[in-house]
Amino acid sequence: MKYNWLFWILVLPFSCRQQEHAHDIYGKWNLVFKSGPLAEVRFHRDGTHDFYVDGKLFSSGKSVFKDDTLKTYDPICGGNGEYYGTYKIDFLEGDSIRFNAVDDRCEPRRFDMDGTVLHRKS
Amino acid sequence: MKKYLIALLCITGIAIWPNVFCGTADVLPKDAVALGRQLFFDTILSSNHTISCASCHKPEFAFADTSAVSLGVGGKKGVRNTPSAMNLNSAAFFFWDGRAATLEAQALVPIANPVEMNLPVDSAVQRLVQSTFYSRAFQKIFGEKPSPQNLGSALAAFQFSMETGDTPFDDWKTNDNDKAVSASVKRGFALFNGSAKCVKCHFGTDFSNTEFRNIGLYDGKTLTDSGRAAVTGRPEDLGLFKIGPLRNIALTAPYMHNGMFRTLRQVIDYYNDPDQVVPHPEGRDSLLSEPLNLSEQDKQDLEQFLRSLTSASLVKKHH
Repeated sequence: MKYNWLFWILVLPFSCRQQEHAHDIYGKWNLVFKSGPLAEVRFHRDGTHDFYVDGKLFSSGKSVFKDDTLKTYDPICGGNGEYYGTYKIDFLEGDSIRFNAVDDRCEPRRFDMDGTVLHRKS
Repeated sequence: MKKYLIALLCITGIAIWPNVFCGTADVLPKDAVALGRQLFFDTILSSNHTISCASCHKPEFAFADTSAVSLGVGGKKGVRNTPSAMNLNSAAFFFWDGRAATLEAQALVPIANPVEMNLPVDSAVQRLVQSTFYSRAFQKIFGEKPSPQNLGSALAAFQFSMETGDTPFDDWKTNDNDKAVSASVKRGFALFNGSAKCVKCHFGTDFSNTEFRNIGLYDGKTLTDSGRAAVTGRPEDLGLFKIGPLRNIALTAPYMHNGMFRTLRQVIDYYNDPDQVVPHPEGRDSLLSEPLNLSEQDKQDLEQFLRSLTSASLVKKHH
């Protein structure tokens, strides 16, 4: 029994740290479109993101990530103001994430993002 | 006399010897891209054998021309500026008015156009059939004799192969090399993406989008090219033109469908306040309804950003 407590004391902090890492979206992510092109998304810690298709930058925007929610802005969406679409993020096994649209009036972005799964680039 | 004859035979033998074993100097192209390249530079596709595709799509200028409009056979003037033949993989339409849906279809049009190469496509194909070299080349690559379809395919294959991603901008954004571009380029990109609103039309891997827009270069008086409307027949398409890609833009002056701006700075000045250049446009896009009020520094930064989209390999060729 004594050893059981010792086990939890030792393991719990590492377990929490691992959990924290899994809920981090910063870094490079891959996705493959059904139509073929290989795309990459990079979420930067300065609140910006870049989206690449076949190795070339496609668009750059801003992202706010908190808990399991991503608010994202792309200059090619909407009018002159900064409109942010909102997506819930599912953290999947294998270091992958899936976006679920909560609110996004930018139809092309919603079409591309809703249900899309990204895989962390090693 | 006998010595001279022997010497002559020896010299002739030496000259002939390599061809006996190596074949002719005309080595057949290995694939459709190589065949397309050969055709692109060959004057066989023009009526009087003086013009090739490369006469107007000049390699050293990112396969664009330096004239407002190009000259075809017999010095005939074209009607629109020659766009770059590079970075077309993301294009959905071809020509300024988008009248060709595929690059294969586009490739045949200048051959038959009376003010360009002025040779009916069937006649061009006939010439290729009669050429031993091209006849063998098409047979090798397409398994059939030259036809309008495989001629278009070969030319398109070559053009599709000309993608560039080796620019300072790519080195910065794709390779994470923060030192690849200057602070001015970074400020210019921020403007491009932000208050200058360029990104509203010029986005995607080649900064081109796939739409048509009226940027105010149709006024029905001095600027009368109807653009997309000539294809669709719809009045609301008057003055709409394809959004051009921006990769290698620093090498492809002059600019716009009519080549009316000689420098990037003139283009930036136009977008900054279009009314100063064309005061009474018809159907101009609402994105351009207000002046941008760019500062001198902003304009320089935007130009530096555009220049950072130039392929390193083309810069080497250019110098």
